[in-house]
Amino acid sequence: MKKRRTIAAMTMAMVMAVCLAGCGGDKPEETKKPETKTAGTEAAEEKKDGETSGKASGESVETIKIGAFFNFSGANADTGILDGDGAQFAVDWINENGGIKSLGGAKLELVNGDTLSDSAQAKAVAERVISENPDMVAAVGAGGSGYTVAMGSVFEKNEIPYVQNGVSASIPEQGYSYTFQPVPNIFGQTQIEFIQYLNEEYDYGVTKVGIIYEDTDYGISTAQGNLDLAKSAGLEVVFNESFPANGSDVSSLITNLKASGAEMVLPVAFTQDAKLIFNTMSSMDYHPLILGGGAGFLYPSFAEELGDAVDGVLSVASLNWDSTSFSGDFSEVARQFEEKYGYFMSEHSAGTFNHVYIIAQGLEACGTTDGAALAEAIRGLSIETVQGGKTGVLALDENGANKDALPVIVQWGKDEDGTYRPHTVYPVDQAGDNEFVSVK
Amino acid sequence: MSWKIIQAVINGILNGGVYAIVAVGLTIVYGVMKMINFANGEFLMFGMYFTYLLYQVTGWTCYALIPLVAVVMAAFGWVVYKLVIERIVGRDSTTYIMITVGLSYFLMNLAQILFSATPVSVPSDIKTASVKLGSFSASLPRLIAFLAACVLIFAVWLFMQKTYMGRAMRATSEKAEVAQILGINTKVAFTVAFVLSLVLAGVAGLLLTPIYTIYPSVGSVLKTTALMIVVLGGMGSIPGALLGGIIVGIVEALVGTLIDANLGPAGIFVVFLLILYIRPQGLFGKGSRVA
Repeated sequence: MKKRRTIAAMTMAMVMAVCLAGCGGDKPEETKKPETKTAGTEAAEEKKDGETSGKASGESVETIKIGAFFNFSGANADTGILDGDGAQFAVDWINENGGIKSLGGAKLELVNGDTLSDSAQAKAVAERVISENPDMVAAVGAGGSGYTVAMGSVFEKNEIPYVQNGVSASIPEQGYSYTFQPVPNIFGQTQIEFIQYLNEEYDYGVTKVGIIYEDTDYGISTAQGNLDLAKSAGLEVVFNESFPANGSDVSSLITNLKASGAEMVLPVAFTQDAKLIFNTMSSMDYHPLILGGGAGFLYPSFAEELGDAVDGVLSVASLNWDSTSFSGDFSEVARQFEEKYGYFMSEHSAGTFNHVYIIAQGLEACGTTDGAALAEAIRGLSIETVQGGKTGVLALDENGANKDALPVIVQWGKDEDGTYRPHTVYPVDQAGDNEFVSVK
Repeated sequence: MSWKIIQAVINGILNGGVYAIVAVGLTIVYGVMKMINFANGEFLMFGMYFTYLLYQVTGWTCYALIPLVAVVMAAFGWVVYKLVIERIVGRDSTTYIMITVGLSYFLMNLAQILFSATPVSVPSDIKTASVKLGSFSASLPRLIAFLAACVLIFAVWLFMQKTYMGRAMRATSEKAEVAQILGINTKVAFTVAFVLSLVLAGVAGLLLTPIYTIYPSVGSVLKTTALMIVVLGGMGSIPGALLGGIIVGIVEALVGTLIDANLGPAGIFVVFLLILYIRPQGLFGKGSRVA
């Protein structure tokens, strides 16, 4: 019996020793960037198959991993598709044009992270995907400001430059040095300026404005901008209320909005709520001027759902596929994108395309995959992008915000092929040949 | 103010009908099988997708597709019952919860794989139509959903009261073992209850297609409210589901309109707690026998 016990104990000890050794062997040698390296001096990390990937530099880098953190599932998954397609298109476009030349033609590769349409889970998703991909060099995201606010600290901790498309003014206020906001965060200002433009140029006589917004960081930030500027512009804000995002009904909200007598409504909402708001307004026989706050008022599915009712609907957008900033090297981008994916290059797709492009330009500039060097290179970029803005040149400040970025106002209209698309109508210098069509 | 109150009540009643039709399927399954089906919202979502697919094939208006969607959902329900539910019948409630919660995630992901996350919609000429009553208006798709809910709930109530199978299901709901001794095939009763609840979820989904767009997680929009209505109306009570739905709809609309749109759901919870404080078994619940 004693002998048996001894054999059993020895066997257990051996099994445990093997298990521990196995665990040790499976553990990645580095789960995050080990140390800050200077441009062009670090050695490439060898992968098992002989390939090399990010967190390295020099001519031997073959692939550079870029995280793509979007809502690939959940209530806002349609946004994730638009974002994901934009990112993939940019990666293909850059790779087809020779990759990152300063890194020996290194190819970009996307690593997807599904933020689940839930800002509460986004941070954990970012941490998991980064730990699974310690060689991730940079990231794009995230389909909404709330996700960026949640994930920003993760990228900061891991020193991964994160170029994102959230438009909330609170993002640069976080003080992160690795988070960048090339998109404008002054939606409210442009919307109010446009109302004044309508009053002055088209004699609209709008004096009473209603603001409705989803209770998210994006909604609150945009609505606050609307509120402050509307008052200073002499407009009377007769209604200002939030609503729960992705709710089942907005009839209470629209009942109050209608009773307020608002002549123009500034709604801020993602896809489902945008359609619900629009349909409920129509069913309650309430037809004010609508100047959407971007997001759901810009997606291809908005027109598919509403059909002809979308004709003439206005919205602010961080950028638009037909603005004059899509010229030069970018003149073919929007057309090729629509040809490939079957829908026009929406604000989200174009924005994400732009952000991958900015990362690529940063890599070209610094010639290294080191996070700190890349972040510094991105901050120092002075390049033309599809973003447009006051100068048409990217100008990121110390907090990562694009100082010169300006939103545009778009108006839905039917093109010759019978498809509804949003067309840039304001600022006039971004509109090209487009003209605002009066919807009074 | 009076215009707002009356308009809010109209909105609330119509919305309550939508809630009720989702809740009635849940309450039937609970009544007969003592199972809370946490995947009911996902079955509703599949009802919406089946409506969309059948529309693509036939081009018919969604309301004309009710019989087809009902048949497809019945078949779908039978398959799910045989593959998943039948194996856990008679187990404790924790097993039901684990299985149906798991099923809800599975169905949501299955829908995303099959249909993608891009929202789709069933074209309808009445999406933005309304019925005018003076200065008041009632959304036509919601009015139709409300009326259809009333008709369906009455039909289910008749079925449960007047048919042999309905009586067998009620007997099973009282005490399955005793019903079995009395010669009732409880397995058939369970199957019919589950399939019937899925048919109702599918038809509810169909009635919602002119109101909502269709996407994999659309079922979760109404899930919590429907569960609350089942408890409020009395678990297993069909009239309770209708009345509970209307109460919830009106409270939500009045609070949302008169106080704050964000407080609508909070108003529901307050009324829910108040009613349960007075009647812990719900409005039409029988309560449990105390020894």
